[in-house]
Amino acid sequence: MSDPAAADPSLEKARALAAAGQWRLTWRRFRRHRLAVVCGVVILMFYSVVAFAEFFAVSDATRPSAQLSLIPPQEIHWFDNGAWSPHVYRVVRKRDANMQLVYTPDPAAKIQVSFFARGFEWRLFGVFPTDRHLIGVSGADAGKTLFLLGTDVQGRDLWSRMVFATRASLTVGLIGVTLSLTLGVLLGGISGLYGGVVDDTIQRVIEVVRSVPTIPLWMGLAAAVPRDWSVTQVYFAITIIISLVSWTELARVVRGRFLALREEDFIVSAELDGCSKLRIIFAHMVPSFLSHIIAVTTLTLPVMVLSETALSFLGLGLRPPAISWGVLLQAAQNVQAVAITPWLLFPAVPVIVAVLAFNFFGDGLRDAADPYARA
Amino acid sequence: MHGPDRVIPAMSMDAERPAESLLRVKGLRTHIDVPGGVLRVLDGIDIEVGCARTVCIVGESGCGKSITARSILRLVPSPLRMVGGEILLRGRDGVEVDMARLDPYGKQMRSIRGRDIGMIFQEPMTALSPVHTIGNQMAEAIHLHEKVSRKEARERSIQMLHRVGLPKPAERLDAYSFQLSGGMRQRAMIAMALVCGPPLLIADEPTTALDVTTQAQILDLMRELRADTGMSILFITHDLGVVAEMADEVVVMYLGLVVERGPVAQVFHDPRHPYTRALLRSNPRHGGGAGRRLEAIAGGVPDLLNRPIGCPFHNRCAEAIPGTCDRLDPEPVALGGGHSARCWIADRPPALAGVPSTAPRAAAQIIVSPPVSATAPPILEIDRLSIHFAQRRGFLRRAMAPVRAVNALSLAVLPGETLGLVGESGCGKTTTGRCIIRTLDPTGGSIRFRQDDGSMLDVTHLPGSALKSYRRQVRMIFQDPYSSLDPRMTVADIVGEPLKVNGIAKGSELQDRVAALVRQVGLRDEHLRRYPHAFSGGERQRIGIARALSVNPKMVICDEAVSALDVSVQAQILNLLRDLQDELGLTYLFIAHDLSVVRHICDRVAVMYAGGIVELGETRQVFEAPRHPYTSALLSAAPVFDPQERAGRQRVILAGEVPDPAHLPSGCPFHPRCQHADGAQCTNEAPALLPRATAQSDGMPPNWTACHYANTLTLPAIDGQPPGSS
Ligand code: SF4
Ligand code: SF4
Repeated sequence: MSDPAAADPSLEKARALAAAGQWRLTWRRFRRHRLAVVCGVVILMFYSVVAFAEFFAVSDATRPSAQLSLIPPQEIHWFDNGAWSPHVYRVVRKRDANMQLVYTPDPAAKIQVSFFARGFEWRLFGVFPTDRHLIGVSGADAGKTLFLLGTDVQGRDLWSRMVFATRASLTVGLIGVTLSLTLGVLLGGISGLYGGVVDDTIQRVIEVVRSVPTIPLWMGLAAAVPRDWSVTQVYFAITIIISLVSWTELARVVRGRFLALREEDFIVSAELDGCSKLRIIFAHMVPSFLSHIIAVTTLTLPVMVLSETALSFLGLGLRPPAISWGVLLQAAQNVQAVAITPWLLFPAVPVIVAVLAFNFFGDGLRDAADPYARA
Repeated sequence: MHGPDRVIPAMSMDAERPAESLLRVKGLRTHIDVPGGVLRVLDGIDIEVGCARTVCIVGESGCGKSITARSILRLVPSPLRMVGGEILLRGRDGVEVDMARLDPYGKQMRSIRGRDIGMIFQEPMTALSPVHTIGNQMAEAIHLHEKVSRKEARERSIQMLHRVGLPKPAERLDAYSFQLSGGMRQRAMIAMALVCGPPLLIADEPTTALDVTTQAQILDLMRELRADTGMSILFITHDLGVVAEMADEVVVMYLGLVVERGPVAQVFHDPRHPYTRALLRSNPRHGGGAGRRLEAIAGGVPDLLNRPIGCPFHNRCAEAIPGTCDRLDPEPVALGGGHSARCWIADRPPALAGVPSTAPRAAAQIIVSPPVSATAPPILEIDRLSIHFAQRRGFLRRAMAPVRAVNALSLAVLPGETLGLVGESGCGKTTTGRCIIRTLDPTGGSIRFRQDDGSMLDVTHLPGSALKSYRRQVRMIFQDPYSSLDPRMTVADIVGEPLKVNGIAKGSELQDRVAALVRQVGLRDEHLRRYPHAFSGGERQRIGIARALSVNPKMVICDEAVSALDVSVQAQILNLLRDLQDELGLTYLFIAHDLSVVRHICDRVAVMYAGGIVELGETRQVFEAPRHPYTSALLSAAPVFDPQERAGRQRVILAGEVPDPAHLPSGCPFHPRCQHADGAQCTNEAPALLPRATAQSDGMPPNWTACHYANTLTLPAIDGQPPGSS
């Protein structure tokens, strides 16, 4: 370590670093992880979609319309005769010789697309009524439609459905993680702190839970969810089911940290200083593994998201009219459908992007989590 | 070593005759790239190793000595890179090859490593593979370099293991490294390094992880092997005592530079670089007995990032010439006889016999320690303390023989004294300390502490709140300055924590007291807001001391408080502990394995073996007239600080190892290793710790000794006289 008295041009920097606390050091290390920072931004974008789903949606995602079934994605033309004028062509619905429905764009009929356009009414934070949307068609005319990613069988805008699905899928993950975090930290903490019989019992429970194959377990539990429950009830039931399995990992991590820290000299010395047990836990132990917990949590999130998607895809999780990535992908279950209407596979993209982003972000956090690691 | 073609003619050991050089390193430079520049980890190292010579590289941590060894072997780990220099090795055919030009992982370099240069490292556990037997690894080493049959390889391995003193070598050949003890592992490592008979052995801190008696065994072995085979040794160490024992020539390094080199006697008795002088003087062994202040070097080894301009040592040098040393980097000055030093004043003999100390107080001042009156009642009484740990193993948790870490230990600590508790690892000294502070519960016996009103407080089974107030009176300083401070708290918070949680001070009073404490241990106010990561090991230990003293304790347990520190910093901390004791009238229980430190700081010493005290007495008495065979062996195992004395000294080399505390020997626990064991009483009857008067004890109270024959044995001690000051 540097002698702070030594005359040095970088003295100011060294001083600042010397007085830098844990979070500043973690941040410094995290920043060096380019990919993780980029992924962090991606995650932020995802959650802003969660918070302002209606703003990003183009149209109401629940109203079916037989007239608009399975329209392919509409291409946006940004310029008109060299001038900035984003527009799409109106689609014309026809039946071909085989009586198949085909949609062809009609270059003569231009529909103007504008940003911050007016559309259906919604409430910001559930309070402030507004009808602004990120993107929309000018003029509220039923004939003017914008399907960025096409429509599904029932003629609903896939883009808007994906926006709402993001909200459902990512909140299931968040709530699920919170639940399993609570369970994991509580049980893992008790296990690591008290040891003995309590520890043994909790560890055996964890082993049993972990030894049950997850898919059949979920299927069993999901099958037990009554068919007549409302969308919200099912939603919470599924969250609880998913977190019931994933808390074990967190509990193990927390227990391990407690056990390791109990032996650390600085914890022993806190005890000798006369700190009470609670103070040792909350002032000395928890801060020293909080960053680890955050990292592990970030790495658990994509597992949750994937679980929800898998369950819903199999028809065991959220059910229509609820919208989630898994529910949307259900429509792509059939190979033929995929061949003819490939845009129905679009919901797989955010799943992949979100899971990758969470994983890279979590990895970066984990590496940065312990700025005091002496490697 | 096997077969006539591989025998290297043993050279005359005559120091006067310049030996033909085996390895010549010239201008070796190894750098590391950092954002915004390069760090010169090695900045032009010259080393020459003659045939059949031992050259020791010595320096504090961070001076680049290990990197030197690795650079020579071309094994520098990235991001370090070797950027220049020559490494000339004389091959078996007498032709020199420049290893710096070879591909580090190419065929030629691989065949040099192992066949021409053997290597041993500090931690044999990581250098030996845990999944191959010792024999397989040795056979592989042989097959790599020579075409021999499996049978012959096996036979040579057995011979080699026998040669390094591994008992039952044929059986050990099929053992795995984790089945061997530390000393045995280091022997196996040496056997492996030497199995192809390399003319040069590079040993990087080979004994640092070992106990002093095991270290003596290994050093002896290396000396013997060198005499037998005529190989050369490049020995890297931080311990000047080991240098004095082993070296023909010494190379002193500081911040990636060789600052002084020369024949060992010359460097020890006429050091010409202020750093070498300071290093020698800050060593407690040099200072001799208790009572003298050590001459510490100011500050710590700077970070390479902050390498001073001019002479790299000038910011710590007591003799720096202003205007010269802080601007111009000196060149090595040849002083004749192969002795040279890199200093502007190297050719002038030191003006003063005693180098002015840079310690905050005056130099070499004799401090009269407060008289420990033998009549004052003890502050802490330990009576027949036992600490056993139950062991359970396997799925069904079957009970195994308990680990008997401490057995019926009795000890009294007098107020105001420094009592040393010494012993090798596993003797139970740390366990005893932890039990006194009650982070461990005793299995039997009692611990009692004297209160202010003179009454004795039984702390053996003290419950919660009373324990809290007891722990304000008895504090602890930890060994590892890195793990003992909460990295998430500032210095102010760390030092203030005991005051806060005990409700002693708060608000501005707390701040004032913390600031005063921090100043008392030699830190500055501006350090208060910093986090531990901004401090060096020595500074962290000061923070730990401030925390221990914050609640005005009466007694402090120093658990190996200086053993993780570099010598120069160690001296600062020892001086600080002594000053604080004088100021505050503290009582120290000083737990340590380093005999020279104990001899320096302690008033009385208790020597522990296998969980019990074998000898207890005044420090001088114990060191100069030990009455227990183990004490005597321990003392003679410690390296002597004077290179000239090593030839004629009589030493007891202990065979065997410290016993397993789960299976202690019957009778006297030392009997399997004791040269004086009688085979009857010693095997059957445990000796009691009793005062044994001796002829030498002129008026001093006799040592208490646990040996049946303490009164009749004549035992060697270490020389009472510290080596003559240069
Ligand atoms: S050159 Fe100057 S500063 Fe450097 S060691 Fe010599 S006297 Fe000290
Ligand atoms: S009692 Fe016997 S075995 Fe033990 S130290 Fe004395 S002489 Fe040696």
